[in-house]
Amino acid sequence: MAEIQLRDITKTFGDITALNELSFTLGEHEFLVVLGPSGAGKTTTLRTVAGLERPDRGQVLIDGTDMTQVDPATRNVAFVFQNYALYPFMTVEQNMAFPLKANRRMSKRDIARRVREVAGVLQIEPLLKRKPTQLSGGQQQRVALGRAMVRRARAFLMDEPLTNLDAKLRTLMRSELKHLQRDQGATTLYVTHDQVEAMTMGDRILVLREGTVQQVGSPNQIYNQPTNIFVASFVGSPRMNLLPVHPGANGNLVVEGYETPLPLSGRVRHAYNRATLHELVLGARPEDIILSATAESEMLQATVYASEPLGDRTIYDLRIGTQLIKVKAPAHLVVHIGNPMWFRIDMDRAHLFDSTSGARIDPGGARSPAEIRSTQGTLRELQDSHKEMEHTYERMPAPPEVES
Amino acid sequence: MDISTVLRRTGDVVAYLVIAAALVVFLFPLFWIVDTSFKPFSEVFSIPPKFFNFSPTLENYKHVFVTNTEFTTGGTASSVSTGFQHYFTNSIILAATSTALALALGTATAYAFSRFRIKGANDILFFILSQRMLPPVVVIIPIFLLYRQLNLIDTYQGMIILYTTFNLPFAVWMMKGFLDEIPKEYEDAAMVDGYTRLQAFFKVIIPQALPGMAATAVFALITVWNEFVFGLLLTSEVARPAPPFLVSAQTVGGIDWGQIAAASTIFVTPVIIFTFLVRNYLLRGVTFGAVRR
Repeated sequence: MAEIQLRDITKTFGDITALNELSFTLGEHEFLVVLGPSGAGKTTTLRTVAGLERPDRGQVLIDGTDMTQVDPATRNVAFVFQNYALYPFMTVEQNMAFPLKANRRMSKRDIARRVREVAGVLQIEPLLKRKPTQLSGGQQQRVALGRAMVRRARAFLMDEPLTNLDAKLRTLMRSELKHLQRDQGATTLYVTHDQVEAMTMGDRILVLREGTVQQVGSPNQIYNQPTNIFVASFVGSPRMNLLPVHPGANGNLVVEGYETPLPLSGRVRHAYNRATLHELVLGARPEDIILSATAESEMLQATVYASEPLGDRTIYDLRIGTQLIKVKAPAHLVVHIGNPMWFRIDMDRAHLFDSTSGARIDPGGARSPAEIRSTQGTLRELQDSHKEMEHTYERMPAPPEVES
Repeated sequence: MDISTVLRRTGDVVAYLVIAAALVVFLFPLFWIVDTSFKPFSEVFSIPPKFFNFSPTLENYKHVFVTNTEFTTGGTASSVSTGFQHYFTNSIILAATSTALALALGTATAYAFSRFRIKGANDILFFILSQRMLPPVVVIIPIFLLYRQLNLIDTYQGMIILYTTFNLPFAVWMMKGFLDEIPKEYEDAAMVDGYTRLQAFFKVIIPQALPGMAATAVFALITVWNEFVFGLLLTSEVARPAPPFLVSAQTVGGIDWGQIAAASTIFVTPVIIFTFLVRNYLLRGVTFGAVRR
């Protein structure tokens, strides 16, 4: 399996800059998810790695070799398309055999054997003689996966493969895909706009916006140490609450439109002390706000605007002055619309952002060693996760190498 | 039977009647020609017109291929070949070759426009389309002079070049429409899997473009097969196709409509057979506005 590196990749389509000095490293055996909204440049990134797009500037390195100008056919990577791109005039078996016939170096018998092998792993053997139009969405998706797997390519590139599946199947396939990737030790670059997929499947996540890397890190880092407002609000459902704040008298925080100031404490206070500007945004995730139906000390008052009971928990929309926040509450806490509710923001888990640049204000070095500040992730985390993966794969027998 | 069933069945009957009427209108000329081809000369113009109550004969068909010169210097009748086979064969050669060439070149051009970023593509495509806006008859004289200069008069090459040129704009536009409908992910998938773009084009794109190619081929074939003016004016003997020859069936007794009808029937048959053979592709091709993705 290969290591893939992108260095300062820039790609424009006419006036539009799709990728802007994009750089990252995808380690061997790693599952890296490129996460971003539509138009962020995720598919362009994938196609650049595959060789289907040539960047205007920058390099694509596969296993250390500069492959920027090399044909896609020679790069030996496998691509799973969002719409599967299964050839409708061929059977499933022929679809899966097709990549192996490109160089005519495998015998018909070997090809048939390899196809059956991969079909077995994906449990699509009974479908081999059918045409793609006779398959369900989930079956088509597995055939597309199978076609990518037959060649034993050195990396897998997946363009939102689960997007066209219904919700239930998507949940099932998420874990299946991840299991498969672990099993095969496949270097995988996975593109999606679904943050749940990114969080549940990625070893690391690269958050992309308008062609620029916002942050690269483990799901934990992305979720708990977002580098800016965009990352903070893109990941997490319901969205992180973002309250415009400014400094008040007596060293506390005033939320705009709300008369009672918030007392500063914990991590937010450290960040506040390092803030040089006065237009700030306080970010607090719905689960980091504590609620009570009755007034408690150190709790502030709000009004219930709406409630969404989900069975295991309830999400309340609270009106705080002119602001509206969403808070997760245990199911047994029931307060009706229009009634008051008391809340306290956990200041050890909330974040402060600069409202102009959107960047998170770092609370300072007196924090846990795993805190990330740069956009590239700590070297140590990367090395640790690499060691763990290689340890796993050293113990596996190498797959039989057949020319492909 | 309740009223809704009655109404529905009446509606069906009316629909079928309308379809039958339309079929009669469209197919009658063809039927009449075939019918006339079996009529002896005397019964061609009988009034009231006879549809089936005449004594059929194959004389007309014989006369398509062989003429009886009634009077020779020696007073005996002798048979001379009309040369119909030659002209008919020419039609086949010219139509098949020019259609195949236009299809091949047109599909390749359409593919380039569909997949690659070509500067001024829209302008070039419009220019190609504008060729169809020119009535061919307008350029007949200049082309005649040009061909005479280039010694292309009455040559197969000359006619094939001409007919291919007629069909190319149509082929490019039709095929571009069809190829645009085929997502480029198909050849992307093939290229990532190790194929060159050319291989991907033939193995993955062409099989899916076949309905479009069949539709284009049929329309191109019909255009060239029936072409008359250029066939008449740019050829004399060697490369002359059938249509100019068909109208020349004149005997001493006047225009032999029966013979013309027979020759026309023979002439129409290959195209009918070809269209019938590709009818499945044609159906999908003609309705290409319907997206199947």
